[in-house]
Amino acid sequence: MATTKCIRNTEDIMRVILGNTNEYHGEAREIVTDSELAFLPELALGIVEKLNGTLQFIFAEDNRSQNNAFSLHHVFSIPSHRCMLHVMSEIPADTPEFPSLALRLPSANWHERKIADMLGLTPVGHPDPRRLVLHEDWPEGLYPWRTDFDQTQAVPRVEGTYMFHKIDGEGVFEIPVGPVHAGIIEPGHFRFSSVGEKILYLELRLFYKHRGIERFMEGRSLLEGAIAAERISGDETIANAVAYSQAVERALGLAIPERAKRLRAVLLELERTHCHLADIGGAVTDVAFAVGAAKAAILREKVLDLCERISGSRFMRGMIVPGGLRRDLNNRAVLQVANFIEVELCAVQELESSIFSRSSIVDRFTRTGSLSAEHALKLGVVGPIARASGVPVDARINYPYGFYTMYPLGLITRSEGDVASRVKLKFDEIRQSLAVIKAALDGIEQGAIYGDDEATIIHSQALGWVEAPRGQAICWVEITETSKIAQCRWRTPSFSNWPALPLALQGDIVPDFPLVNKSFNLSYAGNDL
Amino acid sequence: MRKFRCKRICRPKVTIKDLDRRPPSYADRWAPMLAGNGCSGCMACAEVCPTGAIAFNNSGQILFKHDACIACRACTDLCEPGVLILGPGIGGAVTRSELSYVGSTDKASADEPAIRPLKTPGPSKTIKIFAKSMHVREVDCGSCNACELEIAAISNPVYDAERFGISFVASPRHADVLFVTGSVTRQMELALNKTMAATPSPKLVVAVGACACSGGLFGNTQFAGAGVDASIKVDIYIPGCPPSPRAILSSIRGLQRGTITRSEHDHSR
Ligand code: SF4
Ligand code: SF4
Repeated sequence: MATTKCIRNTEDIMRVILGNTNEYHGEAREIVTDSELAFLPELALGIVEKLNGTLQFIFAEDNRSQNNAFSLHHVFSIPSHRCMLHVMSEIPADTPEFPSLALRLPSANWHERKIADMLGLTPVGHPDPRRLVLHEDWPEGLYPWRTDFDQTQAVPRVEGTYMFHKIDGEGVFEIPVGPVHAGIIEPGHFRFSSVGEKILYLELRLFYKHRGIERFMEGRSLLEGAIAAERISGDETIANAVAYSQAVERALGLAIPERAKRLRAVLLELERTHCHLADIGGAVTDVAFAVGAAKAAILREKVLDLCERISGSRFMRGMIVPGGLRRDLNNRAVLQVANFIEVELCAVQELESSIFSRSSIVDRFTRTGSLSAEHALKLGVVGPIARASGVPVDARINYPYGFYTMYPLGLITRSEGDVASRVKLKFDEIRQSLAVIKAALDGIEQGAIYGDDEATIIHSQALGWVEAPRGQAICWVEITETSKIAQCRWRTPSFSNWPALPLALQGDIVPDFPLVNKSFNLSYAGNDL
Repeated sequence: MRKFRCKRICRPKVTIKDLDRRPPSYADRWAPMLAGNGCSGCMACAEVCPTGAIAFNNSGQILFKHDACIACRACTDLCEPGVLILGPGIGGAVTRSELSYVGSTDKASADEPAIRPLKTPGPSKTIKIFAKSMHVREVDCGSCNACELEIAAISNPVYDAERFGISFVASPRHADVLFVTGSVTRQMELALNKTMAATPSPKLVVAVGACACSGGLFGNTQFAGAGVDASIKVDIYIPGCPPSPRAILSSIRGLQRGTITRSEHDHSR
């Protein structure tokens, strides 16, 4: 990681990327540079069009106490150069606005609206300047991420209405759903505009579960940060904790022992397995295939049971900490995992054939909820949803970290982009996960699970990323001199993927919505933070 | 007529007897407790606890507040003399104060619980009404979704809550019982109140998880509330982060029959 002053065009970027040989233990790099606000649109388009990069994350922080400016951060991923490009720019405190990229790069949309809500910085030229995170009863002019926001004050509820997009025309009617849904699921509001059964347009209204996690993390100890990261989204406990830990490790220059790297991979893949099994179970429930759902639930329960036996918690909480692991897996646990894989593999195979041998299921799955590769690319969709649409993104391969730098993982993609391909892809990924676990346990040696206790802060801030079950999660941490978290920002895979759901549904019928939603399986908690 | 034996047919993993008698498994040991003498009073546990679930009172006794404990295991990892271990905690309670305990070090021995309840719980009248049938609506008010997943898991074939008469319904208008998870965020408070109003009386409210019992880790801010009882009256508290399906089921079962299943504490670890 190195800082190069002020890049102004794409040639500068190439110079920065190629001139940066500062590698971090064979892992993908994070390259930090500065730019100016006025050049941002040109830069961003250059990176996306000429370098095939993706805009991953935009966030901002309030630095007015230090240099009388807000700082704005754009994170691009450039797979061809195996790096994350982190461009920082400053917004003067007296003109709190920045040029919006959302018209040209749709993936910037939600990020910029979130910054506008939380910090009061206006994205100039944004096509949809409505509130996103804060609902209409939050008073104007109160920005919870500003440093002068009083966290103890009582915030009154004010009158206000959220303007949903109106679709006009003969026979068009609206179906509002939520926030409390019929099943045991998280809250969110969906508004369908439809003609007959056909969906013309779906509008999402989320952030009912906003808990203020990013603000909560400020000033906490590094251990508390890991504990909080585990509780961002329950079924991504390990993934979020690892993303956070890797960010802290990069900032502190902490190297973690090989045993910890391997065990982290084991835990990450176990988590992917149970998460995917839950998705598959959900998808077949929604086409009323109860036997398959029961089988998937039993398989998932076995994985959770294993997690409980090896870690003491069904969601493997309390395992990950910056620097390594908080507790080791003893030999018996390692053996249990190894034995389990063999058994599970056969059962997963059987489940797959029992699902895809039924024509009524195949019929409902095929060509339902199709997301085109073009849309997926434009919206910056990540994870299995992107891979099922033929977009080759996988952080474990494109930007490897930990054990994945030693293990040659094959990229799995499919091209159809419908529910069937997402479900099939998840089966393939479960098999791949079990293979990774096997490989990670094969060469495992006894040894430390925790690196050096004494760390010096080499960077005050760094990014960490991980391929969570739902896709790439990115965490940015800034650390104070007293080893506390100064600021922390999250871009979870759900935040990237939610905007793609309405596109996948276009032309489908309303009764298909639960099925498509399940095949996307997005986290509300992880999105709302 | 031949008797229909479901147990013989599907052999569920957790039988009714198991729920009553099964010794706490490792995952049921989710809350800290004192196992024997030797607490040096260093207060390291109280300092590290992110939710204030461990405190010391003026006379130097250790106070456990299980409504707030998120089972992060920071305190037990840090305990120098090693007397603070993960214990079974408690299954469920009908008032929040029952979730607080004074831990005593001097009384601890193998046959006497090291932690004692402050007050003996008793079942309420409404709980008895639903003794054999509960129709449940789940309302998520800002959880991390682990509590949801565990609630959903109690109706899977492994735990199979339907055999205890517990079933999940799709509308609050069909429900007897609301399972509420999460600390009740600012933006969910209105929806919770409306759901509550839509549920016919008599009804019960069950707060599931540390977030719902006390606000948990992220609670007590402008965005995340201080638990369900800050908005609506709660009848049953089930602590844990998340409570395992076994814990949810056995608490509900215990409360249905008017007895709180509080596991006997064993010190064998
Ligand atoms: S386990 Fe965590 S939350 Fe519970 S008392 Fe210990 S430190 Fe506090
Ligand atoms: S109690 Fe724990 S598991 Fe349940 S919602 Fe809260 S943080 Fe998540």
